[in-house]
Amino acid sequence: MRHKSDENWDVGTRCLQSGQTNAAASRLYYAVCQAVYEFANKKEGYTYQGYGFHTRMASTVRNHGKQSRYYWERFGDLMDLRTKADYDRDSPTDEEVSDILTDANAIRTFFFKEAEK
Amino acid sequence: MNRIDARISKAIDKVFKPIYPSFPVLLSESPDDQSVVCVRVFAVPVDRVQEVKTTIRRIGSDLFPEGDHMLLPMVKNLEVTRQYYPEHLPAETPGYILDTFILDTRQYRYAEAVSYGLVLMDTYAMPPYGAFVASPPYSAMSEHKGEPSYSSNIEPRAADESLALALAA
Repeated sequence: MRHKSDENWDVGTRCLQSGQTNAAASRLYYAVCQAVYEFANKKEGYTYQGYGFHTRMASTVRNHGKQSRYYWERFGDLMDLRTKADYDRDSPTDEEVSDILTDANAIRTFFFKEAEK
Repeated sequence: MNRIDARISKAIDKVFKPIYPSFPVLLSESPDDQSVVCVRVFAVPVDRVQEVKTTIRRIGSDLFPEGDHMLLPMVKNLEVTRQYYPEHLPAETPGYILDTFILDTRQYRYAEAVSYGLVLMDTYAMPPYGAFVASPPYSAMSEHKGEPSYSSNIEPRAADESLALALAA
């Protein structure tokens, strides 16, 4: 899952640099999701079953780490951007996506590290 | 409407709407995951977006402490609502719009609301739900780069009553 997350992160950041904020938000969200999923799969035995996947990822973020509450809120912000990017009339702004980049990468890094422990 | 939907609708009606009566709310299941309910809130002043998100998250956590469902706050500020979701602008009253500015009296600074209300009292009608549509005062324009001036630390009911009294004077 790590290589998929890296690929999505790479594409997401390049889309952001070129002003394609919808694609950026979508790819960055899945890059983070894949890190959380890696952890949930390895440490909690969770396997993707369709229904409840995104809620489960948010719940996993909320229940782990010293910054869990903050990370959960930022994961929710990222989910909002991604849903907006894919389904709403308005688009995530460059500022919104740029603003979440650092936290998104911190969540991703944290869960990959935890999955390796 | 299933049981979960009914619980969420009830919580939004009983908890959210009394706090934010002028912000239109739209609930919808996420297209990707039925356990996620998107709570779209419209016409929220920029400086209240975070507060509204926090309230929705709190409601979601209270409703679903086990984390088996979640409420996803998707808050649209005034400018985004005006540009992309004009049908969700509160108190939109064609015929009274001078400058496409929507001023929510409950977020409107008291002094400006009173003085501005007095100036306009012969010109504009008040819709029944306490918001009105008009061009902003010049002071509000200049302070916030085109956004109306507002303050979130005034009591909404008090502001409404003050403006109503000013208009009735």
